[in-house]
Amino acid sequence: MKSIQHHISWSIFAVISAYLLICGGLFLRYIHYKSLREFDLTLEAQMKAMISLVELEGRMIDIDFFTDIMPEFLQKGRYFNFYLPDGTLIAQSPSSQGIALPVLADDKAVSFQDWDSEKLGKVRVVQTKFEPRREHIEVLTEEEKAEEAALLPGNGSAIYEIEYVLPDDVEVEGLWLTAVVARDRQPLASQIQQLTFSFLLLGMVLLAGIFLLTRFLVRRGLKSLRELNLQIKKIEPTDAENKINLPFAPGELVEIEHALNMLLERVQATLIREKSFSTHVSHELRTPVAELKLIAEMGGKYPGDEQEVLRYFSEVQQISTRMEMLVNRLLILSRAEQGGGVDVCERFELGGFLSDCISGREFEELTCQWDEELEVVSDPALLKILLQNLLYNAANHRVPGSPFFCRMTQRNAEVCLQFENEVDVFTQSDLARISEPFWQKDPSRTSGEHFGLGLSIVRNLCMLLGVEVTYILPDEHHFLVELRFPKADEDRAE
Amino acid sequence: MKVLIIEDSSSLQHALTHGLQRCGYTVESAMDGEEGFLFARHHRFDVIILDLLLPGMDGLTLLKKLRALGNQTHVLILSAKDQVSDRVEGLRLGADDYLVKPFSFEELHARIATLVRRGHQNKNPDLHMGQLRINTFEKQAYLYDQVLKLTPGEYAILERLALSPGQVFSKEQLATFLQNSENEAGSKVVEVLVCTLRKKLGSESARVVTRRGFGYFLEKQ
Repeated sequence: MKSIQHHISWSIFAVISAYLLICGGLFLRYIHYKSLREFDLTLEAQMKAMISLVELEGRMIDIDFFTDIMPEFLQKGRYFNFYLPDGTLIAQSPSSQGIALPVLADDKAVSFQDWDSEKLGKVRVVQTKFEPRREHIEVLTEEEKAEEAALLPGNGSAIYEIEYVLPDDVEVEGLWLTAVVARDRQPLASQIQQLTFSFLLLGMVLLAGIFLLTRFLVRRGLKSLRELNLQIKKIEPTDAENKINLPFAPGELVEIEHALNMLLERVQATLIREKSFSTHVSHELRTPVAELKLIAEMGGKYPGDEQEVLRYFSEVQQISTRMEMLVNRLLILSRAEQGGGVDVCERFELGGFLSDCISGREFEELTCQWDEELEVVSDPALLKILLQNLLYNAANHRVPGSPFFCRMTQRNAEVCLQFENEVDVFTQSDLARISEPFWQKDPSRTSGEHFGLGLSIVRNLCMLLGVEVTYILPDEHHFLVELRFPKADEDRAE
Repeated sequence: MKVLIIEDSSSLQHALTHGLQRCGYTVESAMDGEEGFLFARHHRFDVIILDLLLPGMDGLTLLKKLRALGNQTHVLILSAKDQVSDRVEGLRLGADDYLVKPFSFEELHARIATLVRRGHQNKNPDLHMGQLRINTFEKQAYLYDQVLKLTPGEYAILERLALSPGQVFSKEQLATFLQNSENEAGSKVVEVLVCTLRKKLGSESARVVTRRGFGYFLEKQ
């Protein structure tokens, strides 16, 4: 199972790591470039210094340098070579040990290259072409001689002198030489390696720190989520007071908290409704069961009382019929609540259909009023149950002996069907509860013939059939039910 | 013993009346709360069996009004409401017992007998008068441990006298323990029943004594 904390921590870590790796790589390359550049500049400077020591005296090339100023050319690690244009080596540093440095074939003013030599190892080579300085014989004053002497190194300095006489076939005018200076690359490689290692170490420490920090921050950020989880686990559906409370939750979770509390309220309302329904069912069944149990007990205890026993049998039949009615009503309600859609949709004439529903029933005080033939599109089986429930409701709950009415009209292309009956006293608060299962105006349910399920069935059937139902109290002694059928178009019938 | 049943289910009411009458109780019944209240207010009963969901006036209102009038009759609530809150509410308003439907008749009978005994501050269902023993639960009298065959009327008078030994009851008072709405008993009936009861009791254990001009009382031998 994926955890948000795990996912977010690793995602952030991976992104930061990749970013650091790229930045680190680029930085290392930059460092490498800068180091090499500096190395090359130093090498070039040394080469220029060496070039400044080369003099052409007639046909002789003279190179003098003080060993204490440039001691590096005496030991292994720094090398120089000078070549004639035809490639003849004319001079080299003592450190070169007779090994000729390579001459590059390009025409750049200054060229660099790496050279791997078996004897000298890996070296960096710089090369340039130059015209040697021609020596001028100057007559110096005493003061100038003293100044020059002051510039020269002191006692103990040795002059390394190289002299080369140009062959006869070499033209002195316009002569140019090639200077090649090399330096061991090892110090540069070590420096770069050390820098890389330090940088990698720093990167790893940084990444570990970032990882721990990320985990900590994400964990802290998800604290409200864990709190939410704990609170949800503690919620008992039976406790109506239970609510989720996250005082320091971030904005996103506040919305979830609100949505969950709304859901809890709906769940609790459903549970209360279901509990109330179960209580009503058990209550409705308790009385007939008590009657049956007592009758059976009395019949068994006094079997000789023939008249009583016969009466008991008759009562058992009546009670069982009532129970059967209750079970049937509950089944209809259950099916209507489950819904599942309307199977059959037919176009038919409502007046005739209503007459069929009424025929065979004893509704002597019923007055039906409609002027024209109006058609509706509906499921006839379900509509029949709906209309019969409304007819029975009007007939059974009216003031005994009073007339009741069924009217049909057309209003804005809608077919409107009304049932109206007189009632003893009915209030708006009664109207609000009229569709609740088992609700009855008389809580004693003395008659035992009504269960308060009729209008619950009506409500659910209306929802199934798409019929709008409205309960109206024109005054406190009249009760009116209005059904509005949707327009009967051809498509719906098909 | 007189019992008033206030119950709107005719089947339950009829079967209860039948069963309790067969147990020796004098039974009155009412179908709605208002009728039951009038019965309870104007007649003396040992126990009232009261349903809660009644037309006219609900059981709890009836109970509240009875207690407000100072009526001390024992009330047993017999209801399909089984929630603890319903029972607590019933007992809090002055009911002496609460039985949930469906119930066993034997249990109901036992509870009624307990309430009757409690009314006479007697926890023992057996009343002893020398060699005479009356079991108020079984509604049976024993003399020298032999069953004494008594009619329901004779037993009713004997039990009433035995529950308050030495207390004088007028013929009219005793008649109220015999009568019900359908079958009114008069003082002559009481005289006849007392006469036959005396014969069955003999004179060795307890006897029914007449105080002229006042009535009867039971005397230990």
